[in-house]
Amino acid sequence: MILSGHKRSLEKRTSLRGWLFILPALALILFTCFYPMVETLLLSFQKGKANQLSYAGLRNYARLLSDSTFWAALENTLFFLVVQIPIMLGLALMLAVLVNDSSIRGRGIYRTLIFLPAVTSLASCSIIFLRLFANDGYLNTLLMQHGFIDRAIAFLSDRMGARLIIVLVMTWRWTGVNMIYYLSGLQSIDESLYEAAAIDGATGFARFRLITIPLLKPTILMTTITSTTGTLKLFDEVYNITGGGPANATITLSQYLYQLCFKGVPQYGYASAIAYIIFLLAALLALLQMKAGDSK
Amino acid sequence: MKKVLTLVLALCILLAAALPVLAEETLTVWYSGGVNGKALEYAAQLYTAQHPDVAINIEQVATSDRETRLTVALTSGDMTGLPDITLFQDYSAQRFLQLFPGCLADLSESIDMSCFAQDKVGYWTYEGKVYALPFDSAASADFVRLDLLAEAGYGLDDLKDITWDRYIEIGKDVQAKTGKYMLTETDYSNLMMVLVKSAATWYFNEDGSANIENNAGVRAALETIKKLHDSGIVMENEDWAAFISSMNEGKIVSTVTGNWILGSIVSAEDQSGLWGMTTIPSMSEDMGHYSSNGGSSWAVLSSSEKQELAIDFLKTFMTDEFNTYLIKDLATVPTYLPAQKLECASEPYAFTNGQKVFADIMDYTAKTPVIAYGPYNADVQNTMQLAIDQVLAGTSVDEALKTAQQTMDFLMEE
Repeated sequence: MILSGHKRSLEKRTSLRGWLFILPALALILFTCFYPMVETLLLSFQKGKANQLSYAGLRNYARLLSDSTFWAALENTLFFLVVQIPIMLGLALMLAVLVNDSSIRGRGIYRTLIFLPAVTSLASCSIIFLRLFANDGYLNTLLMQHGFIDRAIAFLSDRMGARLIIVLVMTWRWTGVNMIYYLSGLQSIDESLYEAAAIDGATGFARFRLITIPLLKPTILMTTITSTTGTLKLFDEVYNITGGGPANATITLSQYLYQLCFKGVPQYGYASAIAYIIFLLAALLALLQMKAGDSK
Repeated sequence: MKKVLTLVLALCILLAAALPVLAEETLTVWYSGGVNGKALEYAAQLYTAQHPDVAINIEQVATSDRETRLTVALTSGDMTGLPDITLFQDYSAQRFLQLFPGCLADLSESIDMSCFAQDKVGYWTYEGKVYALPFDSAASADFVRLDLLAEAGYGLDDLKDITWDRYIEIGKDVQAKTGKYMLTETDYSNLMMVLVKSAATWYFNEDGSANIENNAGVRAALETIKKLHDSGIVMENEDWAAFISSMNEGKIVSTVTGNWILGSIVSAEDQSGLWGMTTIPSMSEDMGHYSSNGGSSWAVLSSSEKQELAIDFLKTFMTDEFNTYLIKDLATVPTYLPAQKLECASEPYAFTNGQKVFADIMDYTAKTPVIAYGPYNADVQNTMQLAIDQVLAGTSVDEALKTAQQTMDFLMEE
């Protein structure tokens, strides 16, 4: 009796201490993350300009249905999701397998080089890509000097051109990070599995498909979810390179939200509703991906 | 002992650092860079020479950041970190005045507003009071490289008071003979505003509702931009830096925009004497040759505890000394009307081959149509950029105008 009572109080004390340890972090998250989320939700039920707000129920959400800019932004965001993420993750996986091969000399250098774009600032890499593809930019100058074209190609004034440049920047900037995730995943796979498979006569591709992919599944799932939320929040690249143009061909949900808050007459309530749509989309897509990634 | 000494020393240093702050009053002013920064520095110099107890602290904050920071502060009511005085785009005046009533100090009591160009005063008037000190003239002009024009067999007078159709004709000829683009632009957003205003109209009805779809001036502006783009005489730059260098590096023959561009043109000193200035082309015979775009003014924030001092400092902008510097050294034309009588305003200007451009700009300023920008000006500019992109990509003008009207109606919904 006495012993168990003592044990309970010890347990209680340690758990209390545990709570004390995480309390500062918890308080920070509650205050800086959850509190604004609740406030944003309340704000999304209000209409009006600047701080002249009044309660409007679900009107902001109903308004979304007839907002052509919102639909354009949603379409673009989905385009980036569907086109860019598979390209980037496929490339990251390939590169990870390549630089994981112990027969390649100086693979540490390759890893570093591929990872390096991830440490550049988003704004500066956007500006570099803008200069690369500008009408009088590097690529056009090069093509003209070598006589491939007579007149500069306006890459950024073309709907598809502008979109593909955004895809390119995102891929350049984020592939390295995902490669590092895959590398750490690869290193936890036991080498003996590959040896056994090789003895059984499995080809390189079969080993990749039947050993690497299944064992990397948790990492692939994790990178898919983080890339999806990253794309839903896409802002810097588009803001700095195309400004959402030409004709809203690259405007994203986050950029539209920013415009509504800070560029013209502020519509915080309506912008909050869009923020919640982004949140719901992220939650829904993560849920779908987790379902699809379920080993059953 | 050592400890005590260190303490005393530390205290002395602290006191020494704190003293000047205690002894003087500091005014903080935000500006956007370029010419207005130099003007501000000079004004500060003039003012502090007479008021040694005042320090002017000037901070460069880009236009969009300035407006974002002010909007956030005014919405939240947390005014820490805001300056006493800030430069404002005239375009944004009514947005701040109408959405955040009382955010700026009323200047109409302390400053004689009849001394300024009335279109500028108009932008800053709300319920009968004026909330900013008008700064530079934004009258639009056509700045032209005389040497290139002559090479193709034309003179400045051939471009005076013509239509855009004629301008395109001449442009094609000049381009064929010199190999240089006739006009330089970015995304046509500036030109769009120049054109619409030259038709003495803007994007709103008197009751504030959007007036786009059935606005002949807006339609003509989109059509003109389409014609210019299709003619191939326009160098389309991706950003402002490229736009400026297209002029400074001699890649283009002319530029049609606010006369403040002169401040950037003159930075290419090797082109002195090669430039001329004339009126902008009109979109049709019954539309005008006068317009304006850009332009800014200085406002005192109500949150400032030194409003009186701030207003006193702003009066420096109304001195002959300051305005002479503005014209002579910065090639910037003030909207302070008495500056017209300054000697430097009517002197022949060497950079423009002796043409008295400053007097001409003051004349253009007086002829600029007076219109109201309204609070939704930034929204409409954004919306019209979409229309321009659409029209250039092949959408019909009708369709683009209709979309723009719908977008604005949607954004302005109560």
